[in-house]
This record gives sequence, C-alpha cells and structure tokens, in this order.
Amino acid sequence: MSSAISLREQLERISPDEKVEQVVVQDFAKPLLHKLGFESLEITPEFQTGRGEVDFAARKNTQHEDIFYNSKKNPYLLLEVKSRAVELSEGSFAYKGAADQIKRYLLGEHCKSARWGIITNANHIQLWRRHGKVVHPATANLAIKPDNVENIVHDLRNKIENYERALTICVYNNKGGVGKTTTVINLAGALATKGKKVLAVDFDSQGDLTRSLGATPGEVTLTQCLEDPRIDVHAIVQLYRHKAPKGRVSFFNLIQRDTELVFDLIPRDPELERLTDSQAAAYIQKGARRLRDLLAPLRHEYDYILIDCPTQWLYFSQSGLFAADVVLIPTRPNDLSSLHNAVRVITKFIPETAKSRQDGGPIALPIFFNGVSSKQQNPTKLANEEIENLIKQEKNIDLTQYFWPHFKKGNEDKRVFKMPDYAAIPSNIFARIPATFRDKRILEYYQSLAAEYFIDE
Amino acid sequence: MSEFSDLGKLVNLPLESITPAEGFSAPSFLVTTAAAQLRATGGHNWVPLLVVEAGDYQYKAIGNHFVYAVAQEAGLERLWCIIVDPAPEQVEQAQVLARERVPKVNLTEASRETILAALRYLAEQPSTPLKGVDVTIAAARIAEADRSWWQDLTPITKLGCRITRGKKLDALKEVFFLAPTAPPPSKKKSSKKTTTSASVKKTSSSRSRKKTEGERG
Repeated sequence: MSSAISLREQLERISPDEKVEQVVVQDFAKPLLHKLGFESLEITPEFQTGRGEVDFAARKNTQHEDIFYNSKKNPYLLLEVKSRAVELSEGSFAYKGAADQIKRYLLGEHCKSARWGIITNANHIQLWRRHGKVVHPATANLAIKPDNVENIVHDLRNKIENYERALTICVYNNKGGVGKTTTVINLAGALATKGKKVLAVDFDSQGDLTRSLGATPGEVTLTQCLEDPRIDVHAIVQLYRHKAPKGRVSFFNLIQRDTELVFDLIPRDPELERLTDSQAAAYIQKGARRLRDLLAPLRHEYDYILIDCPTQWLYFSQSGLFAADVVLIPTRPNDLSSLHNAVRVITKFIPETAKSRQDGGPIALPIFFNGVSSKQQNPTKLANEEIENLIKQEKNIDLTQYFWPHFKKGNEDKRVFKMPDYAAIPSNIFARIPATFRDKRILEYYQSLAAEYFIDE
Repeated sequence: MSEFSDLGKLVNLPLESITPAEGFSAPSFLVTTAAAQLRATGGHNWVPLLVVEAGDYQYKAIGNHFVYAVAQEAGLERLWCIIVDPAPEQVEQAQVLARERVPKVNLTEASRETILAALRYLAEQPSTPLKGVDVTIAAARIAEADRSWWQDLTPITKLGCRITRGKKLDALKEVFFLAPTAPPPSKKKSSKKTTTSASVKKTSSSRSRKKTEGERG
C-alpha cells in the first residue's frame, strides 16, 4: 500500500502543525514500520506491554503459524507516536516524558523479547535499544525533514537488523579509590557465572586489572592494536579461566555454567603507559575515538564488555566513555568527593562525549555505594544528605534518577545499591582469582549488582 | 575544540593512509636533496603535511604537498601532519597560509590600495602577462569605475588601461572575485553610459598617463 509512496511524500502530506495524533499514525507511523521492513501481519496496534499500551509493536513472522498480528507475542520493536503539536525536541518536557514512556514500555513484562523502541511525532525521531534491564538511546533525537527522512530511516533499519549482542559498560568515577577495578573484576566474574559471555578490557596504563588476574600481554599488544588499525583485535583477547575447587559444590550451585569459570580479557601492556604523553598519543589515529572502533567487532561476540579506566579526564578515560553504551559509577558513601565527582561525570563528561558521538550515547547508570561499612550504624546517612544537596544545587539536569533510581513523586524511595566493604576487594592477591570466584557471599553480592542493573531474570 | 576531535592536532600518520594531491610536482633536485636531508636528520619532518580526514583512517593532503613528496622520496613510513577542518573556507585558508593558493579579494568592494597591491603582485610574477600595463593607472581606473554591478571582469577591458581580453584578463581572475550588489544597468542605458564614461575616461587616462610618464622621466 503506502510503501509505493516515498516517506518523503508521506511526510510532506502532514501539516506542519498537525494536532491529531491519528494523522501522524496513518500518514507516517504505519509507512515508517513498512520501511523498517515489517509487513502488515507483522505489526500490532495498541500493544499491551505490561506497563501500559504502546501505539505499535512489530516483529518478523518466522513461521506460518506464528503470525504476530494474531499471536501478539514476543514483540521485537515498539513504536510510540505523538502528534506534531507535542514538542519532542531534545530537552523539552514532552521529550523527557516520551523517553520515560518508551523505557517503561520496553521493560514491560510482555516485552522481554523487545530489542528496540522508537518515539516520533513526524518532526523528531529517536531509536532506543533494550539490552537486559538497560534501555539506552541508539541514535540522537533526530530532526526529520522531507529531504533527510529516507536516509534516517535507512540508518534506523540498518541498526534494527544488526542488533549488537554486547552492552559496553565503562566503570568510571573521576575520583580515585572508589573500587573501579574491583567492580570490573567481580562484575565480570558474576556475569560469567550467570552464563553471560564477558570481556574485560584493562584500559588503565597502571594495569591493576591485568595484575589482579595474573595475566600478561601476549605477542601482539593493546598498544600495537591502537596504533595500527590493520591488526585484528582478536589477537589481543585472552581467556581467563578458573576451575572450581573441589569440595565447594554447594557454592557453585549458584553458578549456571559448569565448573570452569570463564571470561575474556584484553590485558594492559607496559607500552600503554607511553600514551599518557601527548607526543606518543599522536600516533593513535582518531585519538580517544580509537578504542570504540577497536572494540567494534567484539560487540557482536560478547554479552558484556567491561572497560576499566583510570581517574582524570584524559586520553584513557575519554576513550573508555567514548566506547561505552553506559557508564557505571561506583562511589564511596564515606567519601563525599566521590559523590561530587560522580556529578561531574554525569553533568559534564558524559554530555561532552555524547555531543561528540552524535548517537545519543553514552548514558550514566545510577551510582552505587561501594565499600559500605558493615560495622557502622546507618553508614549512608551522611551520603544521602549530601546527595539531596547535590540534587538541589544542580539546575540544568535532574540528578534524582542518577542517585535515587527508585525515587518517585509520592514515594520518595532513596534506596541506593550498596556493596559491603568486605565484598569490595578485587581478588585473592596470591591466588589471582576474582573474589567472586572465591567467596560465596561476595559472589551473591555481585550477582545482585548484575541483577539490579543489567540482567533481566 | 572538543577532546574527541582531531582538528588542529599534530598527529603522526602512516604514509599509506594519506592520499596525496593530484597534479602537484616539484623539481626533482629539490625533492631528492630534501629527502636525503630528512633521512640524514632522523626522519622527523618538522614542517607538517596539512591533511583533512577523508574517511575512517583515511586522510587527504590539502597543503604543504612538498612535504609529502619529500617524505615519500625519503621512504618514510609515517609522517607528522596537522588535521585541518574540512570546511571549504578553512581548507582554502590553510592553502593560502601555506602559499599554495593565491588569496582573492572582492573586487566589488576593494579599495584602490588593495587593487593596486593585487595588480602589483601579478605584475611582479616572473612570467607575468601584464607586461606593458601601468598598474598604478589601471588600479586608479578600476577604483573609479562603478563596480557594484560587474558580473565578471570584462568591463575592465573598456577602461583603456591596456588590460585586454585573453591572458591579461585571465590573470586578474587569479586575484579578484566579484560579489555584485546592484543589478546590471539596462542595455540601452548601459551601452550609452559605458561609451560616455569610457570616452571620458579615455581622455582623462591618456592625460594622466602622460603625466605619470612625465614624472617618471
């Protein structure tokens, strides 16, 4: 039907100040779904997500009996439509509302199979991606016009048809001593025990992650890979393997995979240190954008890529953030400076990176408290008071969601995920084994961290 | 500049990632001698090649092309380069500063001094086609003329300053461009006006030429 008419023509039909949502639905949303590759029987209007009704859901029909229009099960993409009278430009009140709406729908109980969400009003369009419990922008919020709509939709279709397996997480705080490396090691371990394929990247020239795991760089190094785009990145990926000790069967009941605990590692090499010098960094083409390109082929092979990078907003951390979909920010409840620095990451470094990336990412995940004293009474009271101040002081960005993700109007839930101090150790120093692989309680904590932020079980 | 942008940065690039300029050539004596000197001094080119990003890990040389020619002759694998903003006006500016492009002035609005300087520059070139043109007179006449409607440089040929169609007029295109601010006068009116003004100017020009020559003599 409408696929014979170009989207450009469809768009031109709609009045610039069209107030009726149904017109945008008929003249733009439906043709859009067709252009994204979905046939009529692969589209269901007014789909119940489990957290509200989205305008459209779509999914390819795989077998004759499995007609999505009839079954209304396992959607792949959700589409929420607004009228042109709704101002959907970046930062507008309605945009925030629509973004929250698509995030909520994508996490609905009937949408566990959903990977993509789109919000549009025929003036703006944005694609969102769901990975486990994380929903993040997959494009910037793009202004659409008759002369760019075909290209934009072509790019969206390309993304939708090539879902990358991995979520790339950069663990970062501009304040040191918050347990970034510890988090990377143990979260990698915990995700691996949940059957996820994980890659940890040591992008800190000090190499704590590599040392903690007792790894050494191979013949081809990370530095060489950064300098020479022709080298295949697989040459620097190593396997971190650990056999479960005998007699601890009950502990390993927590683990879905067999007793061989595995994740992969890109170790740091001593040459990486040179890159702190700008003269040496001049040899890296595309500078802080290079790491993202380097990891690109691996995004199809892993479930999670975790990047460990040092403090200070310089080459290494800039590269880590530029390569990431999301940024996980550990803080210490007894170190208020770590909270202040988390705000800098959220309000300054991440927006700067996103501005340069032009694809909506990366985004910050809510902070968590690392190393909460198990002896002290109410150890996070002071930190929560400081958070309240920080939220009040920040005028441009609403920080609430980044500190108190469960906080809602009428239910001021100020819960922050807490990692106890005894769990905040990287590894058994002599055994070179992540603490998650040595201690059941520590494993349980990091599995809860994984469940809180990432894994949808 | 953003920390994620390479614009303006001095970077060390593999020679094979750079597409050199088409049509550039330099005397082989200069290239081979400079290459030998570059090799003998350790191969660090202190004067960078100017490049723009031309794709992922691909660059295009836009200025200081001599540096590329020498580096290739010297067998260097990598080269120090500056990454230039690819906006056409920025590339043009870089080429002007590298003295690989002659800057152009807007003749519609240029002052007598600027016109004179531009003509003098052309006249001083080794194989100038402006031989026999008195640039002082030509500048004065061009400056006096109403240039607001000029679509091209042809009206100059009617000012009686020995700048004729062909090589002479073409040479002027190297330094002048036009941005008309008024519509061309109607044909009848304009031809009449042109004739009158041309004849008037002819008289005054021959007078002033004599004067100039007299002063010189």
